[in-house]
Amino acid sequence: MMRVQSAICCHTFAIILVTSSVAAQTPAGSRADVILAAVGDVNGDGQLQANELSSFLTHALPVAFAEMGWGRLEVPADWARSAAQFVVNQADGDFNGALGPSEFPALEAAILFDALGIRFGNLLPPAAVKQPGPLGTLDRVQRWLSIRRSFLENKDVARPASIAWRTFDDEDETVKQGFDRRQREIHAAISLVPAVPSLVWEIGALEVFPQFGYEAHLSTGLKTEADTITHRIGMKGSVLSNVSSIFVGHLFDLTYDLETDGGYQRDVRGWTAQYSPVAPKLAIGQLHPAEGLVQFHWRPYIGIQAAEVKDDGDEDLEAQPEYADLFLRVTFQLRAFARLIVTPQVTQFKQLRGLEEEHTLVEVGTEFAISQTADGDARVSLEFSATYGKSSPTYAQQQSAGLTLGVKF
Amino acid sequence: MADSALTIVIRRRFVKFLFRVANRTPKAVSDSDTIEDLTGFTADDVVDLQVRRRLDDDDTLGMGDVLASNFAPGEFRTGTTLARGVGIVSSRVTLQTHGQYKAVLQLRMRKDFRQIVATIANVDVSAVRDERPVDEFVSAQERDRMVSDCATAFDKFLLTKLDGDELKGTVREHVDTLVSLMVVR
Repeated sequence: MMRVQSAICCHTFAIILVTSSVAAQTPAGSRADVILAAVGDVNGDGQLQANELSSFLTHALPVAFAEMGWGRLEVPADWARSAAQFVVNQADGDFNGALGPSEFPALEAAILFDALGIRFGNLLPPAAVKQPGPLGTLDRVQRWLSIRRSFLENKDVARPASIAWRTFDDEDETVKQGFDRRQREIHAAISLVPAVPSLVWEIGALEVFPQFGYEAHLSTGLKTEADTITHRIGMKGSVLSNVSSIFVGHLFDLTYDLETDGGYQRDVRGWTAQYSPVAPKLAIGQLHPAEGLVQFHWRPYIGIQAAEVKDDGDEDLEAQPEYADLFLRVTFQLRAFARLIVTPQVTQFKQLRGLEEEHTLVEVGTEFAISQTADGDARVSLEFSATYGKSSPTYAQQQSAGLTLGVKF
Repeated sequence: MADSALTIVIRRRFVKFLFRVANRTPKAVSDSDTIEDLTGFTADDVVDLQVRRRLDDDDTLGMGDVLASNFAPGEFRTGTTLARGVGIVSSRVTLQTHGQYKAVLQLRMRKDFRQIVATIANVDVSAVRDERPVDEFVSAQERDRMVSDCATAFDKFLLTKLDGDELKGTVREHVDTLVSLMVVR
C-alpha cells in the first residue's frame, strides 16, 4: 500500500567528482616572435620601426597579391615608406615611433587597403592553428562512453552519476522495515556507442548505430525500487530534416532490456523506446535568446517501457509486476548570469497494463556555480534537487530533497 | 593535412557553417569558443545531428566537397572548441594546399558559371567561352538575376558577399572574381 507523505523525508549529501580531460592543446607559441621574424627585426631591438616595416612591405605585398591571383605587382620604395608610416600611426599606442610586442595586435589589425579590406595581419604568417593533438585517454573514452545518472535521462541536462550517502526519515516508505536508514547508494548508467563508421547504418536521412547500456541503481538499504541493474542492447538513431524547417531532426533510442537486482536473482525482460525532436527555432535543443544574461531551452520526450517478469528472484524483493508504461517527459532549463542553472522536469506516466493509472513525477534541480574556471565551467558548485511524485515501474511515492556539492577538475 | 592557408579557408567555412546551421548572426569568434558558445546547441546528440551529420553533406551547407570521409558519431560535441573543430576538419580534407583548393574551385566555378550564363542567355554552354564578355550574353536586367543565381549556387563557398558590380568583363574575369571571393584569406 502506497502512502503519500507530506514532509520532505529524505536528505542527501553527496560529493560527486566529475573528471574530464582537458583537450590536448598545442602550447601557445610567442606570436610576437613570429611577427618579429616574419617582418624582420633587423636591428634586433625587439621592436619594429617604420624602415623595417617598409622593407617588409616591399617584398611581402607582391607575394600576397600573387597568391590572391591578382598578378605580380611591384611596390615602389616611396610608396612602401608611406604605407609603413601609415601602419605605424595606427598601431603606435605609446607614440614612441616603434612598435613593441604589446602593440602587435594593433599592428595586425592595421588597415593597408581599406577598400579591399586588407590589413597588415593578412601579410603575416597565420596564427598557429591548434591541430587536434592526440586525444587524451578520457577524451577517447568519452567519445564512446557516456556516464550519467540514468540511461533515459535528458542528455541536455543529464545529472552526473553519483555515489551517495543518505539518511532516510522514519516516514519514508521506500525503505523496508528493518533496514538501515543510513545508506550508501550508487546511481549510474554507462552507455557505449561504438563510434566506428562501419557500424553506422545510413539510409537517406536515417542514421542508426548500435548502443549498449549498463545501468545500476544499488542501495545498501534495499530501497524497494532502487536495487536494479539493467543491461540494454539496441540502437540509437536520428533522422535529418531540412535545416530551414521547424523540426530539423528527430532522435530516438530503442533497446532490449534485461533487468535484475544486485544479486542477479530477478529476471525481467522488456523493451524501451524513446523519441525526442530537435527544433532550434522552438528552443528545443538550442539556447534562446542567442545572447543575454538569461537563456533557456527545453525538450520533450515521449517513450514506452514494457517488461515481462520471468523470475521475480529473491523473495525478499518485492515482486515486480509486468508492465507497459507510456511516458511523456518535458525538461526545461533556465541559465542565468552564467552561474545559476534551474532545471525543472515533469514526467507523466500512463500505465497501459494493470491498474491503467496515470502518475506524475516532478523533479527540480538548481545548480549554483560557486567557483568557475577561466572558461566559465563550474569548478565548485552547489546543487539543490527535489523530487515529488511516482515513477515507473513501481510507482512508490517519492518525496525527497538533496543538497549536492559538486567538484569538477 | 591542410597547409596553413587552406586551414584558414576551412576555418572560415567551418565558422560560417556553424552560424548558418544554428541560424545565428555571425560574430567575432576565438579559438577557445566551443560549439555550444557559437551555436547554442545544448546537447551532444543535437551537435551530432546538426553539426556532424550536416558537415558530412555535400549540399549547400556542408563541407562534403573537401572531405575524404565522413565523421564518426561523437567527433563533435558541445564542448569541442573551434580550434579543435577546425583541426578535426583539416585532418580530414582531401586537399593538401590552398593552391589545390583554388584550382579545384576554378574548375568547378568555370563549369557552373558557364552553365548559369548559358541558362540565363538561353544559349548552348559551349558558346560561353572564357574570353567572351558576359555582356554579350546577358543584358543589364539579366545581370541582377545572374548575380542572384551565382550567389545561390556558390553560397557555401563564398566567404565574402557577392557584389554585382564586381562581375564585369569576360567569363574568365568573372570566374576569377568569384574564386577570389572564395579563397581570399
